[in-house]
Parts: sequence; C-alpha cells; structure tokens
Amino acid sequence: MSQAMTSEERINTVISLKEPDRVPVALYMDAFAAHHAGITLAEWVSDYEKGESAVEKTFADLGGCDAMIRTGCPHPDSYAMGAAIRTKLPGRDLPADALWQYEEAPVMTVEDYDVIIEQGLAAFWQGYWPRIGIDPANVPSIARAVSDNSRSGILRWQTRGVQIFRGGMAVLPFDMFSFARSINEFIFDLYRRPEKVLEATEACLPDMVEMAVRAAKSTGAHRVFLGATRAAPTYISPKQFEKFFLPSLRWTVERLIADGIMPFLHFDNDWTPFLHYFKELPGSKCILHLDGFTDIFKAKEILGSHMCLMGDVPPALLSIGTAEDVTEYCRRLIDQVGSGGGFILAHGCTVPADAKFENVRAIIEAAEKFGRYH
Amino acid sequence: MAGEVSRLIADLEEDAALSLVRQRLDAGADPLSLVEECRAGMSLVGERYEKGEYFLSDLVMSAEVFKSAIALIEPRLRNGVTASVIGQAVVGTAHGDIHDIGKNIVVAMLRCSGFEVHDLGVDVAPQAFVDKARETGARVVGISVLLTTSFATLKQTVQALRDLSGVAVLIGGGPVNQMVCDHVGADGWGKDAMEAVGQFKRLAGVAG
Repeated sequence: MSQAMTSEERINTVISLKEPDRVPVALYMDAFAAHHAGITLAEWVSDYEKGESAVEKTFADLGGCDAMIRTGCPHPDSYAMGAAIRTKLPGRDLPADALWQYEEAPVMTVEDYDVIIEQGLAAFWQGYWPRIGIDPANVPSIARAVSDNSRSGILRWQTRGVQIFRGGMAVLPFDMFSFARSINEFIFDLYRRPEKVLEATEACLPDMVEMAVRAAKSTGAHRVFLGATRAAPTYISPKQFEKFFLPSLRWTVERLIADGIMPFLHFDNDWTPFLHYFKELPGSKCILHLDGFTDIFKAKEILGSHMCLMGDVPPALLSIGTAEDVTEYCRRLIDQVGSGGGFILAHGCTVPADAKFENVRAIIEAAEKFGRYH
Repeated sequence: MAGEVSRLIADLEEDAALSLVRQRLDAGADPLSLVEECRAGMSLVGERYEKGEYFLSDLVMSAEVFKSAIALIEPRLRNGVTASVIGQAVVGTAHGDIHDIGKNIVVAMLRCSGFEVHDLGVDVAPQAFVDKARETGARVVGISVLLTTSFATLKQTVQALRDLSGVAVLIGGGPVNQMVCDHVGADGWGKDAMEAVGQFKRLAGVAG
C-alpha cells in the first residue's frame, strides 16, 4: 500500500476484519484530559467548551490518534441520566477535583417493573428522574444540551478526520435495571420474579434503542455506544445470560446494523467465559472494546475471525506502570491480537485520571513503531 | 448435618427453606443446630461455586436466604448463646472511593462463613481502619478499591495498619492484581469473593 490510509479507512478496514496500513489507535479521555490541561473536574462536567479544549490540547500533546470514543462532557446530568443512577459530581457533591462517582441504591422499586410494562418507559422516567435528583421539567433542556453539544463536537472532530465512536448511546435494560434497582436487589429479582424482569425488558428495549438510533443519526456519527458490565460472568450464570441478556443484545445489534449504524460494544468486566456467545452476533459489523479484565488474547482466538477487537492496556498499568511496561504490553497486543487485522489498539474503559502522560503516549508510539502491516 | 434445610439453602429455594426453618423452630428444634444446618448449606454453595456450577449471582442469593434464615432463628437463641464466631474481620472501601458491590459480597460471604464482620462502609479514612482493628482485635483487615486514584490512600492505609502488630491486610477489587498488591505492600489479594474468604481464613489462622 503506497499511500497512508485515513483514520476512517483504517477503522472501516479493521471492522471488516482486514489489515489496514497500520494498527489504528483509539482513546477515551475524560478526567485524564482535564488533569493534563489543568482544568478541574468540576469544570470538566459543567463546561462543555472547556472540556473540549482540554481534549484538544491533550490530543495535540499526545500527537493525535485515529479515533476517540467520546470527547467533552455534554451536560453534568448526562452521567446520572445515562446510567439511571444517582451521581455524585465534583463541584456539586464532591471537592472540585474529585472523580464523579455513582451512588448505587435501590431507587427503582419492584412496582416500577409494572409501570414500565403497563405504562411504558416515558411514564417510568417521569416518576424516576426526581428520585435521582433530576427535575423532570429540566429534562427537555438537558436532552437538548446533550444533543447540541454532542453534535457540534462530533462534527468538529470528524471534519478533521478523527473518528468518534459514540454518536448515540444505549444501556440495555439488564444493566439499567441493575443500576436502578442496585445490583443485589436486581440479582434477587432474577430469582424471585424472573418473568417480571423479562416482561419489563421487552417493554422498554425498543424505545431505548430507538432513542440511541435517533441520537446517532442527528450527531452524524452513525455509531452507537452500547455499554455493558452487569451481565458478565463475573456476576451471573450462563443460563441467566442466555435468558436475560443475550436476546436483547442480539436484537439491539441487529436492529442497529439494519439501520446502517455500527454497534460499538464497550464491555467492561471479565467476559472471557462468555466470549463464544458473541459469535451469535452478525460478523464483521461491530467493535468489541474490552477493558483489560477479559482475556483479549483468548478473545482473538475465539472471535478473531468474527469481530473487530479493541483494547486493552489495563488501567493500573497506565497509572503505576512504566512507559516501558506499556510499550511491551502494546507490542504483545499488536503481535497477537493485531495479527491479520481486525484490531484497534486502546486502553481499557477510559484512560484513568491519574495515568502518566508518557504511558498514554507509549500506546500511540507503539502503534507507529510496531503496528505497520505493509 | 446436611439435612433438608441445608439442601434447600444450597438449591436457593428461598420460600421453601424459610418455611421449613419456621416449621422446625415451631416444632422445638434446637436453634443452634439449625444455624449449623444453614452453614452446612452455605458450604455446599461454596463447593458448587468452586466446581464452577454456581456463579456470583448464586452466592449473592444464597447469602440472602442464609441471612433471612438466621434472622428467624436468632430470637430463639437463649440469652448469651450465640452462634460460634470463627474470627473477627474489619472490612471497608478505600478512602476516596465509594464503590461497594464487591465489598458487600465479601462481607456477606464472610458472615456466612462464621466471621464477625465490622463493615466500615465506603470512603473509609486510614485511621478508621486502624481504630476499628485495634478496638476489635481483628487479625485481618480487608480493603476494597475500584478507582486507581485511590491507590495512594490505599497505600497509606496499609502503612498505617503496619503499626499494629499481628494484623494482616488483604486487598481486592476490579483493578487489583499482584502488581497493585506489591505497590501498596498488602499481605495478599483476592480475585473474587470466595478467594477473599479463603485468604481471610488463612491469614486469621482458622481452618479452611
């Protein structure tokens, strides 16, 4: 290949499981970018433009990359609303430079399953928002801010060729219920009222996915970020996975693909024993982003000919390891997981707030140094 | 010891297990031996987990059934007679971190195993761990951590606990591995709840 590919070509090539000119690199920088650019996390969550400038500076100082999952925080309440969970925010509930954190509690009740089944998702949200500290009267303006900021940010990055993976986002009902009920109560529900959980899942899934599709179309990045962590084998059995999660995952992925939208599967946690299930999803259409807990080398063996893999420098390595450790690990990833294409080099989940700058740069340099296919 | 109550708990038959416990209590069964039957049920759960037949959700559900069963039995225990305690444990989430899913599961499993657990909750200051360990005479302190940004306070806590003689420190949580364990100077780490319970027993010097 004589001419270098664009980032878009590189990403499309690896999604279709072929070899690009070199291994593409993707990053997800939030608190790390804020720290690097010298703004507080309170500013990060509340001032979209400041956040975007922080990402811009960090991106430039690192020397750039092919793709980012998401850039600035489009609205402070987007964390709580995205995961349906009460959230402690820096500058509001926490010191200005503390990380935002989810405050998990059984806020959703058993009766709420019936509200979803009988009255629909919108009616549920209307009653639910105040319980996690959001005034329903503000929801339309929050939604507008999220949509406007995401659209302008995505347009800006994509115009200059940097690919953004989160055009819209969805959390599947299993994870949403688990956050909203709290993990313990939700696990009890799986034993005490399994039919109720399934009925509520079916009742709300189409609306949740529809919203994500609309968002992806309006932002211009035809990719939907599907975040999952609670259906991992760390928590549930294969039987529970097959019954409560896999059908909605399969339905959602097929629905997105039918609409020309790429499902970006951001799957935190250790999914290793469940990797074979991913073969049931359409081939060469998705990216599976692993966070360092799943054995990505095993994932290559099982899914290498089926799905593009992305990952997975572990957070601890970026925070307390050395740049040499990161380089060495990336080299292994490129050699093994990158073999034959179908791979995007990245860290797990997000770059940790306290990652060392030279460690993050080592990821990008490793792709340049060891990641050439031709 | 593995009678019908044990079997029902091990099979996660919540309603059936609890109604049998009620029946047995009403029929004048010895509360202490019922507690032992419940524990035997939890041992079966542990065995099934070790064999890969049970998963974390099964552990969580079994701990819930166990807790409800014990709540039924406890009022029938005579004053001063309590179920035997195999050791004291202090547990909490590191300072600056409010994640508690893993910690709560470990606490539940430790209690099922017979530990008296002093759960300090989340975002626990180093001194609070030290004070509680001193007050209770616990030989093992377990600290949970999810955020890499709390490694620094985790390390401070481990160091503060070093001043107490005979206290071992265990860590656990998402990002924890041998590198993190070495970094903070802990005595051990557990990759999941059952391994954590095994480590607690080992460090507390009680039979596994």
